[in-house]
Amino acid sequence: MYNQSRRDFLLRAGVGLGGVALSGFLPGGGFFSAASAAELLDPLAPKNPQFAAKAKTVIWLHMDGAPSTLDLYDYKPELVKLAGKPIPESFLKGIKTSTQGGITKLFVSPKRSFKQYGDSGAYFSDLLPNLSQHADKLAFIKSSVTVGATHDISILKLNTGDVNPGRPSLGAWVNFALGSANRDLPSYVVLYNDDKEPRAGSVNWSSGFLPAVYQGVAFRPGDSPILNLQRPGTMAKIEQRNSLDLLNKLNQKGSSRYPEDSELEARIRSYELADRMQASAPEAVDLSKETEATKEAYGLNDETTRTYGTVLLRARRLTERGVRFIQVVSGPAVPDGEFRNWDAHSKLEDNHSKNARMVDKPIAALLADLKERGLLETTLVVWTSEFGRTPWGESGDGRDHNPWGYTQWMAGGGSKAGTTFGATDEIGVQSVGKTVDTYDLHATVLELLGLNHLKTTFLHDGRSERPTVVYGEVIKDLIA
Amino acid sequence: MGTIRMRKLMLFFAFLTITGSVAAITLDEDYMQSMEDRQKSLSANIGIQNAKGANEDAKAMMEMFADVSDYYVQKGNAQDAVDWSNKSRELGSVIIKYLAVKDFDNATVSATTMAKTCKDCHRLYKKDK
Repeated sequence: MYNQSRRDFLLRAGVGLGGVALSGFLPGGGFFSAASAAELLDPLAPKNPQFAAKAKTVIWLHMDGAPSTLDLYDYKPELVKLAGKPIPESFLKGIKTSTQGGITKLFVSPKRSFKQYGDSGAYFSDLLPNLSQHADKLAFIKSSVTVGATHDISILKLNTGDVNPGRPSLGAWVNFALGSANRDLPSYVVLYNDDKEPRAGSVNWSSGFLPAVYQGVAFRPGDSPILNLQRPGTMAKIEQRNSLDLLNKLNQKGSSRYPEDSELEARIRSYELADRMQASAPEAVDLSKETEATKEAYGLNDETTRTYGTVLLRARRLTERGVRFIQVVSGPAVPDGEFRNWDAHSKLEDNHSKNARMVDKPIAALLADLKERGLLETTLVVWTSEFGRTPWGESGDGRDHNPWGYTQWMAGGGSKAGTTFGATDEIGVQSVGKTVDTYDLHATVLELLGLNHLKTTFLHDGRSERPTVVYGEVIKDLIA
Repeated sequence: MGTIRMRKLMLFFAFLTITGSVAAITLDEDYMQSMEDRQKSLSANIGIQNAKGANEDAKAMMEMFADVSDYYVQKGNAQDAVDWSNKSRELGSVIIKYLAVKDFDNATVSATTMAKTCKDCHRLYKKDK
């Protein structure tokens, strides 16, 4: 139960924190969940992992739009040999395709070349000259599979494990299970290099049925990462402090009269967090104190890489400041340009050359920077997308969606560097052997964080829920 | 004449018996949805260590997988679907054994394998919406 009149008073009190999405910090989003009383009182108190963790932080690099990993990592000599010819029927056994216009001839860009790099001999294409230098840091997952032929559905599954909204994202589960390592910042942050939030929406960083306090907080590009975070100019800092102190006093009185009203306690905590974030959030994303060499490495001096490089440099700073889960969504390579993302149903060469240029140098810089600062061992970087792309062409010079076989990778955070798990067939249509679904990826990420996905549970409507729904298997071959 | 009539009657009853025991099985979206719901219930009940509830779910799943197996046997040319269904039935039986000794950890693992087996079959046989 809660005290309606006090809640109304607080809402009208105007403590100067404006439109900060404080409901996002309320456990239960307004009503009781099955979280324990202690969790509701301090839902973000740090919690120990279930066993020794290899990673403390996850940087989740989502390549929005689904890149063709056949043009980045997956060298297929057989595909090159058969380019321009119809696909042999045997490769289509067991899958249902829906390419507009039907399956056309196999496609290879005439500009594409591949070389092997590092001791691991991993293949990288000409599109990734910088990332290829870090071949031996990466653990490739080359038998990735998922479901869904549309981006929004598959992005939702990538982040939450379900094709329907309502489940918590992976970051929310991590936040729930481990709490916050820095009480002055959100423990789960979403970054993007676009002038609007990622198109698939906030359901992808939602807390679902977990208390709302565990949802991700989207940091906007620019100096002020959270809208309306700053105190209005008409209110002095002392006034804001006095308002918060008054709230605290009221809370003490309320707690004694309504001891079950833990929602109120959590709301007050969210005001305190917002107060602290007025200083800590802008500082976390302020790059002015970074060296020129660092800015250059991340590509901040080149318009092609500036926006994405900025986001990744912020991600590194947030890692240093104890943020647990940093979800980065790639934006358009050229603002207001033709390509909003990697979704190259046509003009793949043009699309991917621009998008690869946008991300290649910054990602390489991030890996090098984390390594140099001694953070790579405890920071798990995951490069992922909602699905891959087909080896057959679409619209003459593009590729269609491919959920049956594509590539992702992990680096750092206890992942097995310089290795490859799984494979696709000779022309890159379907995974062969053991597949890695999104649930398996989630289970493995959680394992690296010291969490057993089968025992990370939350009681919702009398039902025990876990991050991997009813699926998921830790891929031990990916763990060092 | 009496003997011929008796034979005809016997054949007629034999026919009724045979057709009565091979009822047509329909696997529609509702049926599959109820299987999925039951699967989630199983996983959830194991999660909260409700052995009784999980037992009921496991038994129900075994019956459902028997139906699925029969369906694909009748359909023909779907041996992999038959195999997956039978594998899932066995997993149901294994889960019940684990529940009997309150080994919820292994019951969870088996339930997860069962769910993955469902997905394997769906990849080939689930109709797109």
